Amino acid sequence: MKKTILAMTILAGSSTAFAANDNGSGCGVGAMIFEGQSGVAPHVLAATTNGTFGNQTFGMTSGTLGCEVDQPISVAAADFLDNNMDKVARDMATGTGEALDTLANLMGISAEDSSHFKTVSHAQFATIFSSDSVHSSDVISALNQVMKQDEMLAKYAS
Amino acid sequence: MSDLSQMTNNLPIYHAALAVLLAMLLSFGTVIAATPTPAESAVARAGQQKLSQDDYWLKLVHYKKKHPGYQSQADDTEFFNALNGKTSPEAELTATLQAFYQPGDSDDHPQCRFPARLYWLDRKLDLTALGLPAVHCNTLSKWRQTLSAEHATLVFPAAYLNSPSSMFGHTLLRLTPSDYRKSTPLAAYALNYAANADENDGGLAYSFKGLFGGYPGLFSIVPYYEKIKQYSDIESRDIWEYDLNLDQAEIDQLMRHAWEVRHINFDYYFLTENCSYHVLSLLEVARQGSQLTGDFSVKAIPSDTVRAVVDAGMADRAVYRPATTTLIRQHLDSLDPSAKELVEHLSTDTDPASEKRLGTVDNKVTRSRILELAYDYNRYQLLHRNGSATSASQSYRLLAERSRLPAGNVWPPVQQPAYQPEQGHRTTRLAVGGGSRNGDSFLSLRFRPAYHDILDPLAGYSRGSQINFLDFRARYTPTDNSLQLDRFTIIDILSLSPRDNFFKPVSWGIDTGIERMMTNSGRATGIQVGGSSGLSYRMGDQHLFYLLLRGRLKVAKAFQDNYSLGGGLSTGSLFFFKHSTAELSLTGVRFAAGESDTTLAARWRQSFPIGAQRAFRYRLEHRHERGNRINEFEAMLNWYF
Repeated sequence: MKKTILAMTILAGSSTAFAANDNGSGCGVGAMIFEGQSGVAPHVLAATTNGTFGNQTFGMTSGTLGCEVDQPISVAAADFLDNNMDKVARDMATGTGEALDTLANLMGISAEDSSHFKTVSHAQFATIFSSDSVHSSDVISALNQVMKQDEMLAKYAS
Repeated sequence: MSDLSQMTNNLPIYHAALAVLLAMLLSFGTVIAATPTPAESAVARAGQQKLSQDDYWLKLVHYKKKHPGYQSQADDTEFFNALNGKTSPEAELTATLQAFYQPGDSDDHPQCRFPARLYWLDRKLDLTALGLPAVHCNTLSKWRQTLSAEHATLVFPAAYLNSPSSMFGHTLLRLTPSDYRKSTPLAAYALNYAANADENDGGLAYSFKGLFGGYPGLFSIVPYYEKIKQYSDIESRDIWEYDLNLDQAEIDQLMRHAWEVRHINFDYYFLTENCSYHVLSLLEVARQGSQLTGDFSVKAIPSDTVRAVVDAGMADRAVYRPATTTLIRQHLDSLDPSAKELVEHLSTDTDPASEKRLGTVDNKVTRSRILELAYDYNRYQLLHRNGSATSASQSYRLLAERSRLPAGNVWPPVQQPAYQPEQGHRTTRLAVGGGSRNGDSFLSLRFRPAYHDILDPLAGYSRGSQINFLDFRARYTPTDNSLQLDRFTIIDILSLSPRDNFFKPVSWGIDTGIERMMTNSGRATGIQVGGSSGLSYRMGDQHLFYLLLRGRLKVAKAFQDNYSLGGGLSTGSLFFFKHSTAELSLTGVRFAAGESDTTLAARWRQSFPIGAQRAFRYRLEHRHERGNRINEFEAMLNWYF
């Protein structure tokens, strides 16, 4: 399972890969919660031409992302969070939504536990997102702490 | 001597022995020829079954009939095992079979490079029984395992006028692993075919190369959430997701073929071999016997290709994914004016007065709605208008406040358009009719291969947008027995997007073509280029008002100094009635450079859909142009196919 998830991240498009490598700090720490503008310019460029500019790859990127560092949640989940912080934050604040469902899924949370996961992350929003300048790594460890202290969710935490 | 004579005497025996030996050698030779190599047996079997002419083989290698034989659409030697593989299905089949029997066990073995061909040929020829060497394709296995594709979805982001390459829309495939994943498709992968454009090319070079195959087209795989960001968040395009009913065997073959074409260049042609065309060619390989690309050799408009997939029975249902702005607009509609005002104020920055007012909103659902919308609008502004750090921290405050209210969805269900894109009119239009010009009657004929204008039936299309491409109009006037090219429009784009307090898009238009035009010395054929830019507003549900600044250049020998250049204003209204669409417009243009003139025109047009694929429309027009007063009436029947 762990291996599959790692491979998935390897495959998961190189924009993440490049972001992680640029920071030189592994995954899960790249994105700051509300730095909305970052990465928009290249997106707009790609959007207005609908072309791919070479950095979109078909599949495997060679090498790793530097993601093997110990992380409380799966690489795929961290990767998703990294790239969708504003949506995950919104969904946790409302306790519902597709981004939160996806995060739960990538964290391996079962369908039965996922509604409880949503309730908890809503109730603990201010703990998980402690300020407007948290990075995704902060969010991941805070989320892990919150889950550890929850009877039902502790089994998903490390 | 005696020896010699003896030898000479024995000569017949010697000859006989030699003959036997030769015969033995020869027969031994035939024995060798009668025991062919496994590869040769496979080739022979393929020949007996005429596999090189099999429809599925032709599809696997993307062959199309090209007189006198075939030509593959792949523009890449890597895709062929035979030197003349691009034009010879038979040579390619033979070379492919021989390649499969090559020694070796690595990821670049032909068996690993062409797994879809291997799978099909093995089923047809039982290659395994013919001693096919076992090759371990580790990279391929890992890739397939990682994707674990179990479901495929045809994704159609609607037209995007601001991008030349996406004007008509776009299609891609989404691959989803399991049922649980299926409910969270953001984590799925998108298989996308697009022109690999050169970053340094400007808009014009881009359009030109895009149209005429100047860019290589390549497949790519990216996380689906990246595509959502691009289409929903940045480009504000609604997306339709059609779940395909491919079974696991078909999905597997789709993945094998996707692997085969992953680095293969297919020259990208905007109108024909485009994103949508190649999605169809992949689906043809996935489902044996399906015929999807045949109808699209002249043009592959994405919405038409979606219709083809639905008509072929491959799609079960469509899921509507509104663009972020669509959703914000819908949500705003559910709020009263004072709540909307709060949304606007809270979205930008901390505003003590507004926060105090929010505190007085007792209804928790309403308060949640205001906070969520303020957040969404704040994000929209950050993305589209380079927001400041202040508003970024406001994002956080809004969410923190929202998290203190009860969890749960506070919105009414999303309003889905009444018609899905494939339920709209087809994009080729033929119209015949007639009318009268200052009392002289005429017959008219009009043909347009693509795509939609503001009076065409609205079902499945968005209001106020128009792309007429290669629109050809001819007119026959019986009084002087003349048949004339009235107008040939190369491209005519109009985008009327309404503004409100929250969204401030610019409405604009461009058009160019050849037309019969009035000059001070009579009528002449010339070239015209026009552009417009302005504002439009929604007035209630049925009415769109616009005001546009216009510029127009006309070039013809008959003009004084060969040209006439002017600027002016155009204002009008679109009316979306229950059974028809109408437009009233008033235009005034002052031509000041070159041949001068003041042109004034008033026009009323109305169009009535008759079913999905026909419409009746008429036009009343009054013009002052180059010293003439013209009254014109025209009525036409339109067919869409």
